[in-house]
Amino acid sequence: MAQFSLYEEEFHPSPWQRTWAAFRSSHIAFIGLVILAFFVMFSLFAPLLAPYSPLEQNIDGLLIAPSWQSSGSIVHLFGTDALGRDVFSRIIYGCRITLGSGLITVVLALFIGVSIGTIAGMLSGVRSSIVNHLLDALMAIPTLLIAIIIVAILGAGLVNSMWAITLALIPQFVHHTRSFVRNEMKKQYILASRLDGASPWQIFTHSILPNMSEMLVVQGSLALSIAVIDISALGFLNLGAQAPLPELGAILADGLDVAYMAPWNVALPGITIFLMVLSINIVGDGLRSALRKRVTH
Amino acid sequence: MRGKLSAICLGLLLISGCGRNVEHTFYTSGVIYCSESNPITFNPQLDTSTTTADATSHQIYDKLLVFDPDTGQITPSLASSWLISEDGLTYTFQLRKNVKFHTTPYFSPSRNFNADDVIFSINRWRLASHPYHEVSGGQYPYFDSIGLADNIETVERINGYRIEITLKRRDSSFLANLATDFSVILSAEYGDNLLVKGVPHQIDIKPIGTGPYIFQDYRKDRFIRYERNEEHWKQLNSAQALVFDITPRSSLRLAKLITQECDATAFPAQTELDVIRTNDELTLAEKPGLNIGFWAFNTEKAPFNNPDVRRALAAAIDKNTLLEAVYFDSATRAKTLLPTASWAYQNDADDTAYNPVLARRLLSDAGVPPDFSMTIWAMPVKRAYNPNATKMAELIQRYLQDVGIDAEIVTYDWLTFRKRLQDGEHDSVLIGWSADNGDPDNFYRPLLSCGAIPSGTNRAMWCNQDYDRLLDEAIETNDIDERRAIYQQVNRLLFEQQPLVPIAHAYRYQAYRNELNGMSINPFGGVKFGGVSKTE
Amino acid sequence: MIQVLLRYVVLFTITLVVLCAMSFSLAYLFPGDVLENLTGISPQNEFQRAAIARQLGLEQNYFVQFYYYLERLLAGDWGYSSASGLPLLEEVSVALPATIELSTYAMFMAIVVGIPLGYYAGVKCYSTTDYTLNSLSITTYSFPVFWFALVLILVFSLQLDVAPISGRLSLLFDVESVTGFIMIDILLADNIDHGLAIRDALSHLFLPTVAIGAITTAAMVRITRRSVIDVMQRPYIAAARSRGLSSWQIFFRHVIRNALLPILPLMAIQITTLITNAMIVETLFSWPGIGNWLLQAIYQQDYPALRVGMLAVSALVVTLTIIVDLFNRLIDPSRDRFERGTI
Repeated sequence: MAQFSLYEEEFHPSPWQRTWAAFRSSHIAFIGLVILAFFVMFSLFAPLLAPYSPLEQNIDGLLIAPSWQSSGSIVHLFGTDALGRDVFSRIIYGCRITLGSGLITVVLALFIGVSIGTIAGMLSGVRSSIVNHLLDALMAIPTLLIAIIIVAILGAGLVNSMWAITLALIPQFVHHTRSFVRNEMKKQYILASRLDGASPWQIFTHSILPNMSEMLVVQGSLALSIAVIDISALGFLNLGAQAPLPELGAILADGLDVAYMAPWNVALPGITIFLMVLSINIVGDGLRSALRKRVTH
Repeated sequence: MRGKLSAICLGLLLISGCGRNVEHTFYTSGVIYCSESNPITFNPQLDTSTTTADATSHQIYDKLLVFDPDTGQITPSLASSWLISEDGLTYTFQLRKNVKFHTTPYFSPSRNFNADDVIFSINRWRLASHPYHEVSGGQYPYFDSIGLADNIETVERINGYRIEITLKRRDSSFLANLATDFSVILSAEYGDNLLVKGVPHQIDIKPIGTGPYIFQDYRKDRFIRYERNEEHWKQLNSAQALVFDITPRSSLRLAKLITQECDATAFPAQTELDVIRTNDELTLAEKPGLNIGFWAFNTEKAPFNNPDVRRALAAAIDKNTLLEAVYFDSATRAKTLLPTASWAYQNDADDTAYNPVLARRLLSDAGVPPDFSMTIWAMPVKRAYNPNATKMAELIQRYLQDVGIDAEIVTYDWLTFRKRLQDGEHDSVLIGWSADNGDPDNFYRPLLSCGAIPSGTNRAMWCNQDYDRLLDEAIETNDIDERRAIYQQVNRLLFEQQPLVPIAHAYRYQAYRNELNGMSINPFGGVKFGGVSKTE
Repeated sequence: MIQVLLRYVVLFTITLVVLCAMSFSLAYLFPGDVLENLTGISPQNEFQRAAIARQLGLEQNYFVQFYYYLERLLAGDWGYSSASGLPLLEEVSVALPATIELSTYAMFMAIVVGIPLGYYAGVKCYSTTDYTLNSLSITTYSFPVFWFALVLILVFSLQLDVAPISGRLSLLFDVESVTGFIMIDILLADNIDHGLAIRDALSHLFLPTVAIGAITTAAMVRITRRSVIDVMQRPYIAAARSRGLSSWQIFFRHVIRNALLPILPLMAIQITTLITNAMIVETLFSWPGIGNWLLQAIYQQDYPALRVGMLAVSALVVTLTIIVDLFNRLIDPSRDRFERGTI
């Protein structure tokens, strides 16, 4: 070593830095992150990236094949649909709507779920296993069913389907938060800060929340992949986003009518949803194993 | 890759023993037809929709007369011959003997078809005092819309196999009306039976007729099952069983046709025609259709009660584009209600032209505010006359945006849609009409006459005394040229008033597998399976 | 033991009552007339309406109404579908078994294929095989089920023509629905060629089962693998290894059973996903199950059907979940409460 060091200056990476290092060491996870970043970019900058408006109909160019087919043209990268709308632009906007509404749903569900879960976990008086079991039982009700009920009450639409999915996602956040908070509350450091005179709110914000954030990120990634699949499924079933809104599931359902003549109208939105969910899952998986590695080593 | 996949698949199939063996004789004994929707009733007198007619009139029932599918001539069916009096008011029908009604678990006939059954069937829709008139709602849309009940003076039994019908006014379309899908013959004996049991409405749910197939079972959204009527009077070589597989999605219907799950399908989508044409195992039959797809305005609602507004909306859309985008050019542009195949077709009729400038001016003159919004109801089912109403609505929505109108597209499930339409909840609707017979009266009267408002076929809710008077005049004469001249006046009136915008006359298509014998397009109304069978 | 059973019975009853209350409140939440939402009958005149309202106790408070509602549910009077006019109990009892049947086969596939693969991947963890299996499962797990089903249709029906697309038996077979389970109904029917019909039914089952089962299988592989890896890291495995047991001995004596325990509660979660997927896939394969039926009901705004369908499906799922939970509790008394791990 060229430099003389008087004190042993060990580098102590923060927990997040260590997680990141572990995450980066997995190539698959990193590729997943890059793909996901692409989708996020598509969603954020859709108006700049999309060559056409997703709603603009072009009567002269119905069902043009995608550019890699001999009959296609480079003007429409992914071809056009039965109304002459540019499929590439629709898919970019579709990413925005599907991923965006998925994110909003997850954040909303996370916020509500964590609030309820924390209250349930911190109030030691509420030790009713009945409530716990009931929550589990209600958690078992399929999202599709909740969505059908909400659509029946409020009518079909993207926002209503988002409410349905939020409702379906909340219980698992409640559950995880509750058991996490309850476990932490038993630990010594909480007792220490309690002895220091911290209020429950201070305990939560200063002691529990920082420890919980990783669990929340992992649960959030899991919930996001579910939310994206559910939003597109509801769009596909015509219960969610309504025409002409370019939501990936709805685009796919639209394409079914011309599936024989223009298979790319079904293939491309499907592949997009698949890649989006896959990248979310890979990133979530990578995060989880990175966290696990950090904890075990 | 494909080889590998099929190898895996074959492996799986060998293990589970679930290979498909569609060559087995069992599968050739019956015919499966992929229909597009649920029939509303099993008595076509009660409903004018093609779905109901398809499922009933040619399968379960027979009529007095039928149209020859090739020539369009009226030919004998249950009436073996007929006679028209000099003054054109009295019609005498000689009925066929030894015609048996269906024997089913719920009814066994004790006698053959005779004059009583004809009188029962006609009087059911004709006489308000008939015990069956009010059963199942008391609405007979087809007959109500053409006002036939009012024109019949008497229906009399001369003897067991001869009846005489007397009209009040001459009606040159009368015989054609008796040959439509709706003029089916029910069993009077079955009716009496049910009346005794106190369940008269069963007559329209568990039908009894004389047709080539006997009704067995119906499950909503799933299937209708029939078996061959071994005792049908016309010895037809029909399949042992007939099943209607209710499949609303047209892409799925085509897929089933390809995988041999259906032998024939209803309404192939225009986009799929090429796929069918290029498939060696499938046959696509086509014929110019007797139909009209149109955009009707609810003339009972402001501002659509103003002809200027209607004209403006008509000028705001480009029909040629709609033809191209929705029908993929498998239709001809409609100028009037009548398709080219009709003898009264007027080649030089006035037609609206795409003119958004004119449209905008007319609208502002009529005092329609610039942020006006309206609804376009798009029917949820595919029909030859409008294979994709939603898509058409989306195109029209764009055109209307250009003239400053904000249009909202409304659609419901077919039953709900029709019910709400009947209640007049719409501002405008994209729908159409398939002719039941070749007579021009069959277009003009059901679609726009005053009498057709309550019967629910006049979607424009438009009532014009001049129009009705002209139509009456037209059918009181048998002189073709005179009638043609009257219909030209009618066309002019409609062009001025524009209660609806005629859009297209579509070709009719029928797709079926090559194994099917005896299949043909019936230009007049519903599909026909009598005499259809499968090669073994 | 008895106490545990008793607690589950109480829990089960309370959950069902809560579900019934939700289904009852739907009649008020849905658009339209409460009376029609509750019965599916649209009264012809005021007199009839008053009679029905009295029968339902509509003029009394909500609790009394709910009591009457429960009474009718128990008596089997579930009202009528406003779209088809048929009794809802009858419609549900035809549709629900079809879904249960399909889900059972899919679950069976997931267990038979998923668990062994998961064990294999777990034992060989961090090897090439494990990575392959793991990436295969995460890929399958990411398929949106409706798209996956479409791909299956495209490959196996339209290209290879080995399996039909729709329904659960060729419509030419006139099989009366007795139990609602097609295999049993075929055996009960007497007017058909049983061998031919069973083969036909199997070929109809093939694609939907794979479409639903594959995704659950992928989940099972991941769950099992995780569980096996966790077990393998336990001290007792190290102890066993140091005692000189071969890896096969360790696997059979210590891993199999211990890894199975945490899988069970996670399977309960999979039931919900499975049934959701089944409901979506049903619409694509025209499978006459409850999902297809509910979606038709929503398209046709058949509110009485939705009210009852919601109750039926949620009761089914909750029952299954609670049974699995109870089972899990009985075979694993070390667990003092219901826990959920991660996938």
